[in-house]
Amino acid sequence: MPATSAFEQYVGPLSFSEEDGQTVLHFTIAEQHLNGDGFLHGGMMMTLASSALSTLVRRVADGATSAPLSVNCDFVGPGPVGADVVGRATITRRTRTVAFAAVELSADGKMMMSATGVYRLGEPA
Amino acid sequence: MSAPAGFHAQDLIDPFEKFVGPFFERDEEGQRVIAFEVGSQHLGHDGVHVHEGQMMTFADATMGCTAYWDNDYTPCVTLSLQASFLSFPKLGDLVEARARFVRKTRSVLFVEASYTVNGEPVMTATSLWKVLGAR
Repeated sequence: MPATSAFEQYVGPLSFSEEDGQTVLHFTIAEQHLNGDGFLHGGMMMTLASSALSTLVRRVADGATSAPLSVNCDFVGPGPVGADVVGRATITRRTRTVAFAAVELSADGKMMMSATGVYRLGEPA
Repeated sequence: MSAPAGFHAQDLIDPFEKFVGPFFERDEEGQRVIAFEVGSQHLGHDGVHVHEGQMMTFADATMGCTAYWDNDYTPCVTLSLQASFLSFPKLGDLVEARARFVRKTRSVLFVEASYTVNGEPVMTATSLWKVLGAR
């Protein structure tokens, strides 16, 4: 299982696995992850999405450094407390210097977020 | 953590913002500036730079303040948020946010923001917000 970062451990636990070239995220929504309305905070939702994307991109980077250049997140549905979140991230395209990736997150089987990211591969020029 | 010089702590409502905060605020000639200091708990995979999830959480929180303040304190929720990462702040850096209310339609708000460390840009972000109760 890929190692998680300090921030992912602090807000987590987040768990990642690999299935058929995808990175699969599992997470359960708890009280500290909520917004003032009692649903999953948008920041935590984007943390889940971007963590899944970055984990996948690090794997396909073959040891080269990688970093997000742009991440776009669409808030499709709410995340109720206690819900099991599943995210599936896929590579859309990889060039020598850039990777494009996409992820969809669901909460108890209902669509919650779709997100895409563009990542730099290798050191900045 | 005590507030940086010139700032006061924001009174945060959302449990997740309290969890990843504190956030600080000051007035700059009518522009509200919101800030947070990168702590060891905010670091990403390389153990040196802040995690993009913390930066996007800060983007959501800060643009959400402007969406709320500049629309007569009407509650709203995030529809979409895009962030571009120019460089990644490091441990101890104070990240400052300056957000701008761009446009309001009947039920959707457009907000953008820029983020700096020591005056140098580190992130730009744009966002769409759904006004709750608007039809």
